[in-house]
Amino acid sequence: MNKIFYKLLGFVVASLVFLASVSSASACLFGHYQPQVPKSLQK
Amino acid sequence: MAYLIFSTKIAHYLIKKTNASADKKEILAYAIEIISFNFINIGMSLFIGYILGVLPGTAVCLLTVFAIRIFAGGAHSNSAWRCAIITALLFPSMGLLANKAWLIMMPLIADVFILISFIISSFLLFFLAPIDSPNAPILSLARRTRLKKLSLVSMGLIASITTIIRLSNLTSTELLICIAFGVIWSSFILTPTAHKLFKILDNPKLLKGKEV
Repeated sequence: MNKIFYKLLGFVVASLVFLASVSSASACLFGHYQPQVPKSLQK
Repeated sequence: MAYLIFSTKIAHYLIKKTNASADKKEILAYAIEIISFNFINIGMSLFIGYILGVLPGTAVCLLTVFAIRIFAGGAHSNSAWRCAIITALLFPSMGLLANKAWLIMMPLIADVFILISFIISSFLLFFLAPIDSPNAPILSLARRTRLKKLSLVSMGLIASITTIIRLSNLTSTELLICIAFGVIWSSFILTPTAHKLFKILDNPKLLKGKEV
């Protein structure tokens, strides 16, 4: 059970990193508020 | 870097539990913030749209603006909560306005309105897009050029879909007017006027000439 939970968390982290990369590649994601893009993702 | 407490805490928890490198913390906090604010904004818009009886129109406006804004960017508010209020009020209002407008517009006038909105918006996109913000600067020229092209392609696709729907009578004129409103808003927020409007919304004292 614990193993599955940690694997799931790993998947969540990977998905979030992927989303952040996609978002930083676009001009903005949608809303009228833009959080600060991390320096490592600015291009 | 300034992220809200909840996103920083969740990011910290994920890093700790998965042994991911600490430099990913900022990236995770950023992604969590994006997901949560978009979820709140879109959810509130659709909920208000549903209450006002204009859910499909609100959804169409949201989709249209999303498809263009993702590449074209535009003015932003500097407060997440003010942005949520603007979004929650704006899109249902567009849906409601389209709902009333198509009742009084003759089909020909509606067609002309939709056509003009696409022409003007395409010009604005061509000359102004992409507009970045201090929080998400576009640093490379190649990326800037790519985003401009993609925003125009997106506008072209929306125009094609609108034309096909109009010619085949697949849906009511109301939803086509919603697309037109979405297109107008997406291009309006690229203009200096929209930036001034957001500055005033962020700081209403500017209206009285008292810059703070």
